[in-house]
Amino acid sequence: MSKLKSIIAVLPFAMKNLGRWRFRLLTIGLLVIMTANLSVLYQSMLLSQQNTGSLQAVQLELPYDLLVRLPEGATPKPLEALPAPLDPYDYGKGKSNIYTVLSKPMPFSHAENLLIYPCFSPYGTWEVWGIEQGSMFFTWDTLTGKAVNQIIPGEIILPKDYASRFGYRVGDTLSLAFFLNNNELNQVDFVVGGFLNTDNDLQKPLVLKEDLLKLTGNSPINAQLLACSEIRSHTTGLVRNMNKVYPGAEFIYPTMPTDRATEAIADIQSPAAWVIRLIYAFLGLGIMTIALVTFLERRKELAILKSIGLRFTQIVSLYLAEYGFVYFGGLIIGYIVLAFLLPYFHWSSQLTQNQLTSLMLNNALTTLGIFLLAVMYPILLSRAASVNQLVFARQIPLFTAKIDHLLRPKPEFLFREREENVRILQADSIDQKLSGAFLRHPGEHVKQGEVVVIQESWFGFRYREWIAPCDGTFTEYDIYTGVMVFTPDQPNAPKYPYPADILTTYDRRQVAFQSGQSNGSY
Amino acid sequence: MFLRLGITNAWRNMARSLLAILSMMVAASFLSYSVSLEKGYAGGAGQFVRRMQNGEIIAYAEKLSLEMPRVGEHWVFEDEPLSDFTDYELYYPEYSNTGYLRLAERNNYFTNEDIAALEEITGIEAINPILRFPAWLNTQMQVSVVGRETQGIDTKDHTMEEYLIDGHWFSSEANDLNSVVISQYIPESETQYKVGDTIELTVPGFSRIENRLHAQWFKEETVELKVIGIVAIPTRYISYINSATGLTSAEQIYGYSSEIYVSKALWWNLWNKAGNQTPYYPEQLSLQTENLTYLEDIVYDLGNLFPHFQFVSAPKAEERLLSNFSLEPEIAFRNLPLKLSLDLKNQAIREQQAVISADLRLPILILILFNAALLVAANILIMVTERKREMAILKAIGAMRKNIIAMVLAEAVMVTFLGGSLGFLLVEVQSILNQITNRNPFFVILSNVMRSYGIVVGSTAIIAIFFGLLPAIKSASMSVMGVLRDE
Repeated sequence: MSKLKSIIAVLPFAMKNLGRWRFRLLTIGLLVIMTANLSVLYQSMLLSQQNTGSLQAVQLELPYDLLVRLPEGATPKPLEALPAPLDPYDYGKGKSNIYTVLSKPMPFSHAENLLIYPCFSPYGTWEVWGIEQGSMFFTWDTLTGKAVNQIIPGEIILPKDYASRFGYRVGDTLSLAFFLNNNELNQVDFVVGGFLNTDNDLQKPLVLKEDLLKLTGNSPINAQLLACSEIRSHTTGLVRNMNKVYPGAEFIYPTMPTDRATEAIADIQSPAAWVIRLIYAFLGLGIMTIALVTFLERRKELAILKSIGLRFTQIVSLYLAEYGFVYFGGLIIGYIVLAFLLPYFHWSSQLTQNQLTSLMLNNALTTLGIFLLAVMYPILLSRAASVNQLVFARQIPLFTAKIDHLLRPKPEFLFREREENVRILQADSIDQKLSGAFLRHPGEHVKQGEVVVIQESWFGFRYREWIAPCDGTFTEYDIYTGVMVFTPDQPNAPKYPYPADILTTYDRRQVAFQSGQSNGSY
Repeated sequence: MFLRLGITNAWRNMARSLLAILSMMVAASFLSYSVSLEKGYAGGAGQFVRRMQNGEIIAYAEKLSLEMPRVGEHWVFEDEPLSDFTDYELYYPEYSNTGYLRLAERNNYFTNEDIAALEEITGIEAINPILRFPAWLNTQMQVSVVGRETQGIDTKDHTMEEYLIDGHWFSSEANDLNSVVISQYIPESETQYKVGDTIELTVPGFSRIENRLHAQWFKEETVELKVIGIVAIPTRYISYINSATGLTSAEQIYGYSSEIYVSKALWWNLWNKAGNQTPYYPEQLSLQTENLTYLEDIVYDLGNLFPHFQFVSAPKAEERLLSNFSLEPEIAFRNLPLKLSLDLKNQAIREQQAVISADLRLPILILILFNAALLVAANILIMVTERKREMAILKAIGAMRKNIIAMVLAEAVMVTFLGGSLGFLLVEVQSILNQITNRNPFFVILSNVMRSYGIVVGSTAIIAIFFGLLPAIKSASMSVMGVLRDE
């Protein structure tokens, strides 16, 4: 309870600071407002473009629900071996209000094999489909005007518009030339048996499958027509699930153009993701710069607060209260501004409420994350800084360490420590250059814990002190390697207990050296 | 004196100045990039496509590239084979297998008015309709018969003569009325033709149904033509380390081409005979431009002005060809080490339908400039805060308000000027080199560079002055006694 009280106690102070730093906090607030507006408006524009793009791709009118064009070498599978093609629910965000989604995956209800083969017609290259006798997907009008689906050998059924485009009539003879595998051309005459009676897309001339097999020298079946009515309401997971049974196949279904357009638009918009990241990166950079400048200016204030006993949690709550206020204030004002701005952008009307809410929530969470990251550095600095460093504007390292033993002692150091009863430390040196300061000269007497060498690295972020491991004399140091040797006053002064595995490695080498199996080099 | 003091201060705080220079550099580089869409291509870029196409930009009447949807436009799915009267099949081989999206309100050909409108565009030097129809070569494989200029009429950058490895190009229309120049490697063909061979060309009948050209293969006619030249189309040059000798070897790879070239006179003869009075409107054009410095800008403008046509620059087309490997026969790799040739072939990627990316220069530019300005302002603010005492002393010994402002601004302007110039140079070096290789006169290059430089440095200087002014005014108006007492 007292902890809570102490945190609450700094709040009035934070409020005063808000007034004191009003202009720069206002700048941060402005950044938040701008970012909220820019990112939501920009993302909503992208979303609306996606929506429009997929709406502008015209859906296919097809007599079947799915056409699988098999890759070379694949054979069609029986109906029982096919999986339920769709996922039970729609993963697509924001689409839940467009599609009616069933809870249980529905299996395919009907399958027919199909042979697709190209040929030369009097009017360019055609693709002819060899369908099964009594196919349930196609019906056509014959001379008598009656719709049938029983195809006769030697008969060809043409798409509806071929009558007007090429002037064919029922009963006409039509020559087609098929390429065989041995590069020979097989020219055959078909009789036009009828015209498909629907205006479906992607219509092709149809012949009996057996006819086509005979003409093309038993060419393998390369496509399958499937029925599953759920595909017409949504296609979640369709391509993924079907790819498991027919890898590399092409799938044609009514909403395929929409899916393709969506993919293409996502491709076009992919650089836009960088713009969004840039918006947030600049927000983070802006907050961090201002927070750092503010920290530099309030060093004295922090020094006083620290010296009168302010705890770290209180400092954190001070920062959080100041910046949290700006964050929430900026966000609320940002969204109010957004509400005024949105109607002026034509794309806003195409967004659903869900999409807009999720964009705003997304923005709020990202901004929060960036705020925390940006304020983290000044908070860490406040924690790491001593009152001295704050008052005299000294560098504040984030990582400090006192070192009185080696982390990975070399065997020769262990050897010397054991044989000569000394203690060895080694400061960091790069390319035989030592950057740091020696506070003691060799030959001087040092007390245990006394600082002998200080080193700064990582652009001042890390500060390390090498301290004397025992009361004794600082006997020698090597300016190239940074090795320091201390001789203890007391012969029985305790040694640093190095882990057993390090010592046994050293002992094993020692034994090998003494028995003459090694030349003693480590 | 105060200006010098400002510059000295920038030097004294080297680390912080460098940071500000760096951020300004990034902003200026991006601004330089945005002044022109791309910084042009070197003079030799896309050379073999430019020669094959007889131009720097290929224009197709039917649009297959997707971009952000325009109001009222619709895309429909199509699985018909691509037109035989264009070379779409060469550049987009996947489309015939997987189908493609195309504009519902498609254009099938370029009318004379379209060509006249295209000729008006600045930067376009000449427009060549591509004369092309499909035919069968020795009843074995389908080829494209292309009508080309006779010797000496093609410009140097576009002539195919340089690719002749045997024989000669059409010398005059009268002599070469039954002559043909043929590629060394023809897809699906095992025969290698020689100069002097006679080839049999099966030309279909042509008719126009619903405003689209159709080849009528059952009304074919056969003509005999004499091979007078063989062309080998160099696609890429590969250097590798020869494991046997340990030395670097290099190999020129030649490409497939299913195009056979006849003189324009012969082409029209064949067309008129087979077409039975069918008028020919080109489905593909090639556009010649003066040089490649602003090629992508021209393509971008053309795309906006003629949204129903598709425009591709030759270097981009070359990139596409080289990425799908449909152009190079197995035999072309015969001299390469097996592993290298397999690696190269494995790079082949399956293309999705081509998309044109949206132009995002403006939002990115605004953001980057805003960020750079923020960093300059922060830099100056920190500088002012840290040097309160110094400024107070300067004021105490008689420096005026304008002197202090000048001192602070000098630092800001110097930092931005340096950053701006460095950023500009970083991006512009490539452009200058490209312009030199495009054989632009010195003064043209200089004026291009200076114009861009003026825009870049001018905008960055405005930002520096505006954002540096606020902290400068703040520092100039502080009270001397207040500061000295606090410190």
